[in-house]
Amino acid sequence: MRPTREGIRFLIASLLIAVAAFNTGNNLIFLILALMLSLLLLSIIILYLNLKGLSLAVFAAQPVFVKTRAIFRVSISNRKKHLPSYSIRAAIPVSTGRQGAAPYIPPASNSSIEMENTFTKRGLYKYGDFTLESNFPFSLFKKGIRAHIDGEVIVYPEIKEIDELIPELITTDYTALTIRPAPGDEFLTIRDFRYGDGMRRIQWKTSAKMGKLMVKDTGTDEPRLLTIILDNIKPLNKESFEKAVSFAASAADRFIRLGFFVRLVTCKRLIPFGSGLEHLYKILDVLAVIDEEDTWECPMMEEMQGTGILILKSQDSSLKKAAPACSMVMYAADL
Amino acid sequence: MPRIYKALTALLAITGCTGLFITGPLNPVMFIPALGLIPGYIRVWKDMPTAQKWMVSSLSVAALSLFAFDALIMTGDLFIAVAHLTIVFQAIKSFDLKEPWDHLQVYFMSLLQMVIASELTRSIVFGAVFIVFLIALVAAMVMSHFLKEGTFSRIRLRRPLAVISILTLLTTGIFFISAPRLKGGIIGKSRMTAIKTAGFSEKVDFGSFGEVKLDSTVVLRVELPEKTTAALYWRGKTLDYFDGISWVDTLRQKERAGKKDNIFVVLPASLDNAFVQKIFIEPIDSDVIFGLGSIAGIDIDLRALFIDGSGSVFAPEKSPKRLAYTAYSVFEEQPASYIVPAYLQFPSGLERLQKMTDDITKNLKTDIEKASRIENHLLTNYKYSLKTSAPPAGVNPIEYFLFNSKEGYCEHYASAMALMLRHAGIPSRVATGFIGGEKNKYGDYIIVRQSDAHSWVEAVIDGKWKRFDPTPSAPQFKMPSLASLYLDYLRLKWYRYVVGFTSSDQKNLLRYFSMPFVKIPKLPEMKTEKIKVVFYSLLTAGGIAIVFFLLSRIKAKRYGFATANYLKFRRYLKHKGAAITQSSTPSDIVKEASRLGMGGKASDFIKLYEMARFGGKEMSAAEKEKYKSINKSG
Repeated sequence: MRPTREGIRFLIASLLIAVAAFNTGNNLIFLILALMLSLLLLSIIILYLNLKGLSLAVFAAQPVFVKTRAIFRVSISNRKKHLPSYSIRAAIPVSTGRQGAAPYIPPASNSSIEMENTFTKRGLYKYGDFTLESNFPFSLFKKGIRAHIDGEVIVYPEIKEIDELIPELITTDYTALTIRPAPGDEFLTIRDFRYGDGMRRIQWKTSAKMGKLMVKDTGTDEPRLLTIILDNIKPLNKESFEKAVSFAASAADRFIRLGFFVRLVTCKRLIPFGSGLEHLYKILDVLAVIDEEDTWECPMMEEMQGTGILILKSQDSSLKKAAPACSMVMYAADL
Repeated sequence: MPRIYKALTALLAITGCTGLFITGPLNPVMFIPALGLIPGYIRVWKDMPTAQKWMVSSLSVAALSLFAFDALIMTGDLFIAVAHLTIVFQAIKSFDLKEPWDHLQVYFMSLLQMVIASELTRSIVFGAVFIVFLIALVAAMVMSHFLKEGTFSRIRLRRPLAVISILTLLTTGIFFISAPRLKGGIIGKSRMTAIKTAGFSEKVDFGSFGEVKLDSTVVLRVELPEKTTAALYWRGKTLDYFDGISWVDTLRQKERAGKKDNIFVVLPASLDNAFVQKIFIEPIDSDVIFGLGSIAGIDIDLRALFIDGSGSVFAPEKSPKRLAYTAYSVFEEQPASYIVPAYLQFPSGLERLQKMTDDITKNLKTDIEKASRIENHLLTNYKYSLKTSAPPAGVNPIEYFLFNSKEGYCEHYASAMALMLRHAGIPSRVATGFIGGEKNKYGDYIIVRQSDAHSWVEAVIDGKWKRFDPTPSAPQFKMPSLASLYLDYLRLKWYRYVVGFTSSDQKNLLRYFSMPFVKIPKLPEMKTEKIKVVFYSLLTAGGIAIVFFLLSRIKAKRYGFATANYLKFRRYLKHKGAAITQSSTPSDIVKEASRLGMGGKASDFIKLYEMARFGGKEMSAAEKEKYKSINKSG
């Protein structure tokens, strides 16, 4: 507990009044002194009771990315049966100065507040010790209590706009599927008759309706595949590596959202092809905590399935040998 | 800003000024600036813009000039001048209320006004003003808190305000009762100097007594735990010398009364059977302590008491405060251990009085017969009157009373009898004090007023001092109303339990509450002399600490936060043995700190310093905290 600026002034005023009271022995000054002391004492007691019996529950309202505003939902519970709590501020442990305030928490109830924070580094953060702070009722003293929160929050790498880095994304029609016509039975589409089409493929009913020959296409649709290879072999330039990780995450995000099946390959971790948001977060989970490694342990494929993006730490990277199999080679320093 | 908050600020400002005005000694002219509060707060209420800055500054400078004039010339009293200044500042501030901090300034100013008022008055009205002030201050401080938090409109304030106000009242009471008290303070004296005059006076001359007998101002309030059938003569002091015009006390040798069990011993009599009176004396123009009969002992919160040979008791000085004490009296006639010649002193030129005395006491042998005959003669042959005409030039007032006007009041009767007794060879003196009083049914105590002032005679009969009262009954004056009696009862309680609360009361309370559970040891008496040393030391230490604090604040303001702390860090390292010179750069400091094993912290510290000092980037609150914490931990 520490006095606020007003509290220090109030303490000095009380001290001066105490000197006057003891000096003169005047009971009416003692009366004023008693008022000052009672305000100080009540400040301390009420503040103590105000913070007593409070507990916290925190969860991230949405996935947390580096340099992006993260919103945490903080639920402050008041376990006191009869006493409410007023003006409670909850502070995020990391030194960002971010706070959220609950003006009133009824007895045996809770109050939710939203707090924002922006992380500058990816990784796994423990919630740790939140601070619950108040200066109720007179703003003379400020007291904070630590509220330990178990659990962790994973901060994913920064997701950037990568369209400029991969111009193909803009210039070509990057659909998620490569359609390969095949004699299979699976219906693909109905289209105008083209020269060379077999007579058996003409859809007569549709042609009659349309007044022209229409042909049914059958075939097999293959999903487009993307492999992201991230070079994290020691030694790494920290700044460039972060850029590389961010690029890998951004590429995974961009392509998965396009419907691609994306695979991530790093020194020791391999996330096989997959699609959808769940798969994206599998990749991001790895990228959030990825660090430099001594050796490359994942199988290095000679022939790349689908598109391959190789992200190399530098020109001298030992992974450069995989470059011919990849459609794109990026250097961390250039990102 | 909510209107209720504005209203509370106005209430506090008005309460502070009212607290000052009820004290009395303020210059009535000060009502004029106090009236400025009305338009000031109307503007605040209507959200009108505050006064121009130059106008507020000019008025403040003018107020300070007026203060100097007031303190040096107008009142010549710094204390009253400060009181006047606070009123003017309250009025100016009412036109300049912008930020919440401005409102806090009003609270502090009101607090100062209450402190000043408490030194200028003991009135019960102060108690009423104080309660209003307390509730308003608590409410304003709680509201101020929510306003600062920005949650005022989201909170239902009624319940927390009520609870906190009640708690504040209770704890204020507890602190008031339990704060340690020293007899008469430490080095200072109460600022209150207004001493009321009383009907009682230390000399008896003839002239203005009629006015006194019509004055209903309360002088004493007395609680009598037991009933008594004895006549209520509140004896003050005795007068021995009559110069032909007035009576005076020439036997001024006073001795310091000894103490036994914290009670001043006046007579060597046992207090076990003494009659107890709890007396509250208003501030009167005298140092005399009153009591019934002969006072044997006194329990009073004073450093010393003095007694003279006649059994009169005196305080060390005329008290500007109400005195509260317990008197232990005995009604037995006290032996006249030594008869000083003064008690037989007789002025010349009173031949007619001498002849009259001889005629009255002719054929009477014993002193008691003579004294009773004289008393009876005065009681039956003269009329009580407050409207006495002045004697013609050259005529003695006593002889004029006895032979011409034949009417007068107690002083005429007592003087005449004392002189007649002396002529008859009986040592006598005039005693002054009060007689009777009216019982207040609301508090079961006796009110003694100026109009009860009285003089009577004490004469040595058979070696003992015996009281005679030759004054016929005085006519009854107007009885006070029930309301005024009830108000007087409240006043008594206020004086008794607030204004006159003493360390003895604390001990009694402690005994009362602890009695059934534990036997508490005798509490040590707090010696003012010893505490003075501690007080002076603490005061000096406190003063030095405040000077250092202010200097550091000035330095911080002069250099700015970052540089002031940087200089502090340099000093710290130098103290630890680092080679820091005037020309050491921040990088030198990091190097020196590394040598002392504080490289990491120093590097962080200097980084923050350079960023703030040269990078043009202000430190965030968290960074400031970190900056300070590095400096603190070294």
